Amino acid sequence: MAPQQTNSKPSDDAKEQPAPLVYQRAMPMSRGKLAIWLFLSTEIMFFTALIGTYIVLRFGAPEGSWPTPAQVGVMEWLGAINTFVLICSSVTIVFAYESAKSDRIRAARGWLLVTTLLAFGFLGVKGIEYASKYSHGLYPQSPRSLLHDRSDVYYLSHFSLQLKQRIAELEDQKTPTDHHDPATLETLYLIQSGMLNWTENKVGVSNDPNMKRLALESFAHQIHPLADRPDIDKYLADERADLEEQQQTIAPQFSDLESKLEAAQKQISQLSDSIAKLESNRKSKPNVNGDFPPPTEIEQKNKAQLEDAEKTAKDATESISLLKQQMNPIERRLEAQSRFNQFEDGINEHFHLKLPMVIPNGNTWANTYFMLTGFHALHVVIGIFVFLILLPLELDRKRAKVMENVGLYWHFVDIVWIFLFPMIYLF
Amino acid sequence: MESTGNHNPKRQRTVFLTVFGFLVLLTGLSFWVANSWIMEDRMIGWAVMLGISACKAMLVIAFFMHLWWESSWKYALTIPALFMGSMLVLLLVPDIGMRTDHYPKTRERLSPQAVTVPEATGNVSSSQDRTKS
Amino acid sequence: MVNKVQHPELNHPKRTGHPVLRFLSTYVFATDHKIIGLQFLFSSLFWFAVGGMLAMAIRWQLAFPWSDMPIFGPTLFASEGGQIPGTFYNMLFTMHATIMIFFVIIPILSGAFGNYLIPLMIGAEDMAFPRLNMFSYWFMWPAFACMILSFTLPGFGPTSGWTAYPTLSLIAGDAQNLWILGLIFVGISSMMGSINYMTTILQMRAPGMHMFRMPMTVWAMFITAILQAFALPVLTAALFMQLSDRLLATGFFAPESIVVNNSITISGGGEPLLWQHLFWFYSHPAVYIMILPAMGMVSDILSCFARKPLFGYRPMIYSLIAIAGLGFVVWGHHMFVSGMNRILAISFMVSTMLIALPSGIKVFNWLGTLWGGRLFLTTPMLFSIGFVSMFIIGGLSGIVMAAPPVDIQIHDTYFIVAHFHYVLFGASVLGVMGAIYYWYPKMFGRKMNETMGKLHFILTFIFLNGTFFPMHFLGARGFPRRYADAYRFEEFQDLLPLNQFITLCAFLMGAAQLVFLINFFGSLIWGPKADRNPWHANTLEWSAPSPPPHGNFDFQPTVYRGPYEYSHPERSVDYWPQTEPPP
Repeated sequence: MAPQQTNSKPSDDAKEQPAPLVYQRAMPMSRGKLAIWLFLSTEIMFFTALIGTYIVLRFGAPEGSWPTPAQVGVMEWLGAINTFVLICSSVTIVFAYESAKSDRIRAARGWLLVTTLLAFGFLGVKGIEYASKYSHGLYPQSPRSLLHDRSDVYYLSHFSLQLKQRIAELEDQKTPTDHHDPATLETLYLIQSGMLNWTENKVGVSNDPNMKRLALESFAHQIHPLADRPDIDKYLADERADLEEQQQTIAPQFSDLESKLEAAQKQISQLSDSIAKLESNRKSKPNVNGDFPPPTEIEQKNKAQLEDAEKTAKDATESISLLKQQMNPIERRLEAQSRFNQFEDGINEHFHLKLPMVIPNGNTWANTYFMLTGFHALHVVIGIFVFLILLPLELDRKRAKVMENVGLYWHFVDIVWIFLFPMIYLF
Repeated sequence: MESTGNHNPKRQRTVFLTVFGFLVLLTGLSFWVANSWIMEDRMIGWAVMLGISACKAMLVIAFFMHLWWESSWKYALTIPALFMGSMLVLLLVPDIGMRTDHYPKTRERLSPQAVTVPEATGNVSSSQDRTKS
Repeated sequence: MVNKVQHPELNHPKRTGHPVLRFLSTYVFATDHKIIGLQFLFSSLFWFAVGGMLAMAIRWQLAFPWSDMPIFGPTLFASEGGQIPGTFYNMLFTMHATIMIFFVIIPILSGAFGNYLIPLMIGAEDMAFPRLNMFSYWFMWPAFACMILSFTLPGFGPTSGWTAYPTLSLIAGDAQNLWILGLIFVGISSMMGSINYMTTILQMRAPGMHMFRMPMTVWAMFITAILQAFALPVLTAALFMQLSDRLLATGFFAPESIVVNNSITISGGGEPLLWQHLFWFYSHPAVYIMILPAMGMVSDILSCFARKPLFGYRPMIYSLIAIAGLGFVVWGHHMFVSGMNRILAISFMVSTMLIALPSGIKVFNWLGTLWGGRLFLTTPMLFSIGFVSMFIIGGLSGIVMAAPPVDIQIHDTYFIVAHFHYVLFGASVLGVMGAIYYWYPKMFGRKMNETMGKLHFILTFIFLNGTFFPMHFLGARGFPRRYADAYRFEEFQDLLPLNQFITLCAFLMGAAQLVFLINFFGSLIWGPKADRNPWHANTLEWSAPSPPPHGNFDFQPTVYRGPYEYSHPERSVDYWPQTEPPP
């Protein structure tokens, strides 16, 4: 809207009009300037609604639950740089206006060019910030953003869905990603079995609500840690110790069974050998009728022994597979623990995975962050658009009024940022 | 704008540069406040930073937007907007700004206090769980 | 009225006319405020017909629930046997309200009459920014397109009410997106218009036209423009947020982790009440945007046909300003049952009741204007008197509802429907009708038929009361609004005959508008020619030719007095145009 207002000068069609009417003014300024001031008043209300929304949502959030800049990767110094850039551009556009007013056209154009470049610089920094938000999955998306307010079963099911998608994508691709520490299929499988399924199982089986909560929270913590959590570290260490103990209790059983199986198998092969020998012996001498003599006692005994041995072997195999079933998740869990626990920055960050993560109020943060900075950036873009229209024009005394109006608009954009900077970056 | 004309351009320029210096200084100041002891009570820190922002905005409005040199119409245009804007935000506070003060249990969020679990229960339940898994 | 008139315009040096424009630049790319005003007028009348049809459909369902609905039934639901589904009823009341508010009353008042009258009444040749003015009309067309398109989507339109409360509006069908977009476009259009009006009124008044010599119409348009400029951006911001809630799942207005139909989870974290606050921050001032211009125009009409100065000109202006100012801090009275803070509710109650003061001042001043006047009961006068009387009824029921205990009782019943229809139809629409009859000669250079006009007024007035007055009784009995079939509850079953009576009156009221249509379009062709000042009124537009040419005035208007110098004791004629030089 700004370009139309700044460009529509009162004397637009004056040449065709034979006798312009005489008016009295209430305010000692041009119509364009008055309109710009009125427009800025409406803009104040627009940004009041947006910033007010942010303020009440932000400060209505329970004490301490709003994400800190570090948790959502907001870099304070980038915001400070952008503030500096906008302040500079405010000064340069003032100089551009002053130069135009005193008919120094080249100087005016130069200052306006500097302002435009600074505005582009602001957008560039903004772009860097947005790119980092995008690469971390910290943005609203439909139907559900990756951010969860708490680690609950909805989080788990969403995680499972996203993980399956990621696995399917990789399985289709067959080519490993070229990150320095790529999330290979194997890693994803390990996350699926060693973490997701483990936690799902634990939450499904456990009757203790505290236990469920700790399981879920430690899961979320390993995906995307928010702060040092000694309780979770302790829980994980305890779990690990428990599991290793279990592994050690199971291991001897396992070797017992295996030796048992081995013995049984040995016996089976011996027995079946002797049975085969006896049988062929017997079958080599048929009687007159052409029939074979009946099996000898030894042979029958051997056969009974064979059946016993086969049963023992079968039992042992079953027990082994049962034990393996029991062992497998424990082993996967231990593998996952030993592999992932070392990542201070969490699995998501380490593998650039963009899997759902738990950041209390992360959604509200992302919504308000993108709403505020987005609408502000839109105003910057409109400003740049107007600058680009003005740049090729002769910025002389006649155009100084237009320059002034554009300047007013630009200062307003600066003022909005002056308030956004502490609210978004420093609070 | 009409009344700014009778100012000396050179002096005008020093005014603008001084204002610019103050703006940079104030930005630095709010950056310092954010990382200083003032933020120990967050409410005070926020208030200070918003105050600094208001000062910066006043400087921009007064000098860059020439309001300092304008006649009294500036009040007619700026004060109603400020009044209505603050009215809107203030009247949102009881309903939205204080909404979590009396949330029902079903809407309770995970604040850090709610997350901490007594250490003893963690051990007991994990040993219970072992038998099942 | 005495006919001997001194033509002030003839004493001034002549202004030559503007170049004649071609068809496209006259009617399509029009920058002339009069053409833009007429564009707004005709498109609003079209939407008035559409919105009226929707209202008739609503009334049909309420009188003959689940019977075959004429027109809509066979065309849209032939396979269901002509019966409308419940969601279609939701669409009906949603779109009826949306169209009537955003596409009829607001554009016809500030778009049509604001555009047409402001420059003429203050002695300007056009708006301050003619091209911006053109854009403000053009931006209505994307909004029109959105509304029409939304009718073609599944469900035949948005169904979450004109208030679009989340979370209902967040899970509604795609038509809701078009509804939001349409309203954003209307908002941009109104913003451009209001900035233009304010600049024009402040900077382009003819010499001698002080702020306190402006007619009430211009004052009302000025205050309305301020209301729009300050309230609309908040709605626009809220609409953008709801749109992003729907398209990007942001959740400004969605509570966290809500599960709908066991399938959709919205990544919330926001607060549904926030929408209500932001929405009503605009939409309560919008109530005044829908009534203040009518108040201004009615003040002018009453004074003209009572042949008396307007009683208490300055108090009228101050009360306008007071209504506008207070109008910004009363929005919460729409939300008494929303679970809002109780102390806040009490403060909203007090400010709401305070509005009765300036409104009362206005009503008494209108009555004071009529008191002892030489009344000419022309059609515009009848409509204006109708405006005042209907406004009293609607205003009084408004004060009743300002108290939370009463409001909690009657909230969302037909009492509310009765109240705001008395204000919006009884007052605003009657005011608009009066204004059309009053300024028609100026707009088209021809007069409308008086007999048909009076018939139109009498029929409308009777049937409007027949329609809306019984709704008070329905509401007092607790009959809920927005129910397709409230008769499922046993206690409402005996209200069916009363509803059928209301529906009958509503249909007759709709039919009475045909008289207006015939009169309006017939008079374009067969109406008798009107001279510059057919009503012998004082304000500036009556000194310009009828219809005024491009550039409005064929002389330089200079203002010597206020707009209401009727029946001045020292004059032989009972009016004294503002432009006439003092003797």
